[in-house]
Amino acid sequence: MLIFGVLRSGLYSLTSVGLALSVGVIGIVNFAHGEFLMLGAFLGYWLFVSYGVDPLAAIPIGAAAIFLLGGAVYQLSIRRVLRAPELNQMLLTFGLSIFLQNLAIILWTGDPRVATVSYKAEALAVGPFTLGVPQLVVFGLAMALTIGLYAVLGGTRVGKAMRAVAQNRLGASLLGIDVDRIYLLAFGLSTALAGIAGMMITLQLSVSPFIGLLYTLKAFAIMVIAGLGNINGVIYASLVLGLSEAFVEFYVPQGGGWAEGVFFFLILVVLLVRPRGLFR
Amino acid sequence: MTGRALVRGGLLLAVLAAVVVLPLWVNRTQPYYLQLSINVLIFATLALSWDILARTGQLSLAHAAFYGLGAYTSVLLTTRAGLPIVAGMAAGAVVAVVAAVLLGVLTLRLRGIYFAIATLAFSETLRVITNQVRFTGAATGLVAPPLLGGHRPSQYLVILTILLALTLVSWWVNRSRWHFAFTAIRANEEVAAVMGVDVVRFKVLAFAISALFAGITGAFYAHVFLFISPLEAYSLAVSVGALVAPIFGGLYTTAGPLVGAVVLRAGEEVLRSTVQRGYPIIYGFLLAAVILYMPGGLAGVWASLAARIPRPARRGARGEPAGS
Amino acid sequence: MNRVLRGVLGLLLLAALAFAGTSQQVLAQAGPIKIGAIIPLTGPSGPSGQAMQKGYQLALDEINRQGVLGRKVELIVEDDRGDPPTGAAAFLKLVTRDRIDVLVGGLQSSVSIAVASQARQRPILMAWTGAASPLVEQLLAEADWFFHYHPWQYNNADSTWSFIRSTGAKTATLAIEDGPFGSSAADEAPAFARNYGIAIASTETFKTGAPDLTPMLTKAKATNADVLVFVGFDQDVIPMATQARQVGFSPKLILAAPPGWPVGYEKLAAGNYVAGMALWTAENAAPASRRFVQRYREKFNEDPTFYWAPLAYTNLITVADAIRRAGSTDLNALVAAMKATSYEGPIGVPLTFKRSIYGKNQGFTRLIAFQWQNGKQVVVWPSEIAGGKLLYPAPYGR
Repeated sequence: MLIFGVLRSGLYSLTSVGLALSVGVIGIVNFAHGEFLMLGAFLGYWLFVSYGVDPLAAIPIGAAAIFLLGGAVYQLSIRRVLRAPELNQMLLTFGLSIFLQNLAIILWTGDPRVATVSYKAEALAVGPFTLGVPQLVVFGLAMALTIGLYAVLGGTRVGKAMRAVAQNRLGASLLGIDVDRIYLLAFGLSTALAGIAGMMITLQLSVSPFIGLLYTLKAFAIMVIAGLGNINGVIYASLVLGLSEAFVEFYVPQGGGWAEGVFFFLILVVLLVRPRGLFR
Repeated sequence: MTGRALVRGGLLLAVLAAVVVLPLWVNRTQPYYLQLSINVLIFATLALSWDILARTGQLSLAHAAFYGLGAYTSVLLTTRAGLPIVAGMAAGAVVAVVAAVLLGVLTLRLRGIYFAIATLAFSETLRVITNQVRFTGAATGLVAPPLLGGHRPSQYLVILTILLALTLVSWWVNRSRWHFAFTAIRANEEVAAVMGVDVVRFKVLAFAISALFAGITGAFYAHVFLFISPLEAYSLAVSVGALVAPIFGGLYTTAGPLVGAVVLRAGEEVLRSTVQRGYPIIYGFLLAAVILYMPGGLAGVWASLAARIPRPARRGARGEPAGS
Repeated sequence: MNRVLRGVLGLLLLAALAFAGTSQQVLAQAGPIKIGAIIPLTGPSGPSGQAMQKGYQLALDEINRQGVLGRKVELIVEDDRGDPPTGAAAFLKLVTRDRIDVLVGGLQSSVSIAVASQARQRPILMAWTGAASPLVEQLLAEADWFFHYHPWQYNNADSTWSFIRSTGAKTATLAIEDGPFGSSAADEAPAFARNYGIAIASTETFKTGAPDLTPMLTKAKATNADVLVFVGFDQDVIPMATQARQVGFSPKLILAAPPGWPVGYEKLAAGNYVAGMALWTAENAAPASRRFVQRYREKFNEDPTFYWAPLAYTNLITVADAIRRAGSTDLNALVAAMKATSYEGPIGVPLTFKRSIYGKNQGFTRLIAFQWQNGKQVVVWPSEIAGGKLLYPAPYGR
């Protein structure tokens, strides 16, 4: 049971790490995060169906496309509300999420679609356990990307600039950092990560315009448990969520229905007891 | 001065009389508009009650929780305990208030997005519990008895009365000492406390008032549309709808949320019956556009228009931009 | 005070404007026969509602080739958004402003209740497709003018367990989504399973859309039941099928009952030999069904994936037929004509209206079962209309 929880946390952390970046650097809580994920999933689907590109191989294309889209969205809308009250930022991204979801419905109808990747149902036997191949892949990718992102933030000039901006916007600009460009980069990167998570959903599950909200909510929960904007806490928080869900589902009768309640209750308790997050 | 007040009073009375009488007359010829008015009034009550809480800087996503609690309390009491509907609705409001005071006290320390997510989590937790527990009808939902025998014009008067009471409360809050307390808390809690504002008391009071009206509206909804289920009563759409209208119309005002609710619902109805399929895309686009280009909402636009027309002795700041 | 006043005035002005724009009423004499439809075109049920709209369009084309009583039929479609208040308003608009003669449509139970409670005050022929919840049936028990096409939940359960019995299975384990769809199935299951002599080994729930069902499937596997009964939506059958394979759960039969199947499911190897229950499938061999599928393809350039399309088609065709036989749009004559309906259409089973447990006019009462066999939905039950044999136990593996 441990192993199920750990595996599922891969997808969760992939979903949340982008949101954590956007919150941490820009301070924007993006309610449309799940919609970027959904668009990434559709992109992965169409690349697979039309050109036979495996969603894993399509990651660079998909990430680049969603990065550009996210950048455009930032330039056209987010940039204008950076100084606006939080409520307006929240509502803007709400509007964005309604817009993107319905755009997807018009473009591709509301039907769910499945990309039949050949190893979708494959499993590896490891000792007494059987582990799903796509889940393993997603887990590995999530770890690699999160650690990679952490390394970029810690080791490169852009990354250091991002951290500087996150800590003190004014100070950073005094140091000659182009804050606006860093924001653009961070938002693009955040949506690109959501896009990658979406493509992994294509790999593992099915795609429809309605999948966004569920993952937005999961990402919120993970972010809260990690501490808002805390990127390295995301992995641990995803583990906490994945494990607690799996335990409830397995050990509680009819646990599937309660798992979600546990997850929201956990957020509530964490916020009330340790509003800065568990892993900070 | 008294003359002007008299004229205003007279005008207000005339408007009130019209709002009360017109729909009753409409019901005979155009019941469709009566139904629309009821839908709009429900939405407006949610919007304005949400705004009262927002005036203390608390951006709640738990409005659906109080709405759902009101609905479920009333339906359970009327169907399982045989209480009259009016008593059920009152009990619904009371339960909502109790829950709000609890939540308000627990979340006192949280600000901004932390507060928003905590309230969302509270609301979703209630939904899951209602969904899992057999006593509340679980996921299947409950059928509710009709209010006033299902007589629409009377139901209209009920929700109108609720909204008028709320409007009075809201108007009074913005005119009294409370206004300064609320605004000070919203601007900076620490400073407000130093200034001698009882921050805890006002924040929790705002929560209670807000939940009272959300709860009674939820109960009203249940007894008008006769069916509730966890997915619908505790829906995130209720919470989001309640905050969209004030932002659209103008935050922290009495007229803003009301006008916002009317315009949005009316607009949505027009789009629904003309465009049919793709209209939510227009809705989402408008929402984003309003935030980008009219950050003060309709009230902000109104204020800037009014400011261009020079008029002597305009008292007080109006159309206060969102978030100040 | 000023601001309050302005708000109220604005409200009033808007109402007045809307009122002035529409107060003139058109008297329909020899104009078209007007039929109103209330269906969800937007929101989560949008795909089903849009399939219904397509079914209506096909029916309308056919009806208007000859007309009805020498008049054209006009269909006015209202989107209810899956929202009861909107549904109630749409009903009043159709009845009092558009002056429709018959109301069709319907999908969700909550909207059906809001609409029906209005219809009680203004009776009209309500030829209703949706709502499987018996709550709706009880609410309208006395209504002579309410005709219901879709099977009730207990009809679904009866078909499901009767089919399972026919396979020879002895035990079943239930996996249900935690919303109204799943929980109603779980409520009905024990009585029907007992009735058909099948033991329910366990009942587990999951949240629709959840990416990982492995804990639940591992538990189900441990019961060693013959059949897994899976009640979830289209998106859920993917993790169900693939993850059951991953955890090595291979019961003799997996029976799923989503309202539709994801596009591309036929190519999913792990999904082979999964059985489904539905009112209808596109592989239905009935001649009327084949004609319907062909005309649907011609007109919309796609395959019908939801049974809602032929159900809506049946809905409108039978209403037009009843109007013809009634010779007028008088309510009593229409009700009598509807009661005499006997129609063999794309659903593949003859449609007549009979008493049900509470209601007076119930249409379809039985689902069919099919099995995915190499990308095709092969109808396997009931035997009268079966197009192939059920492979039981399912021959998984190569």
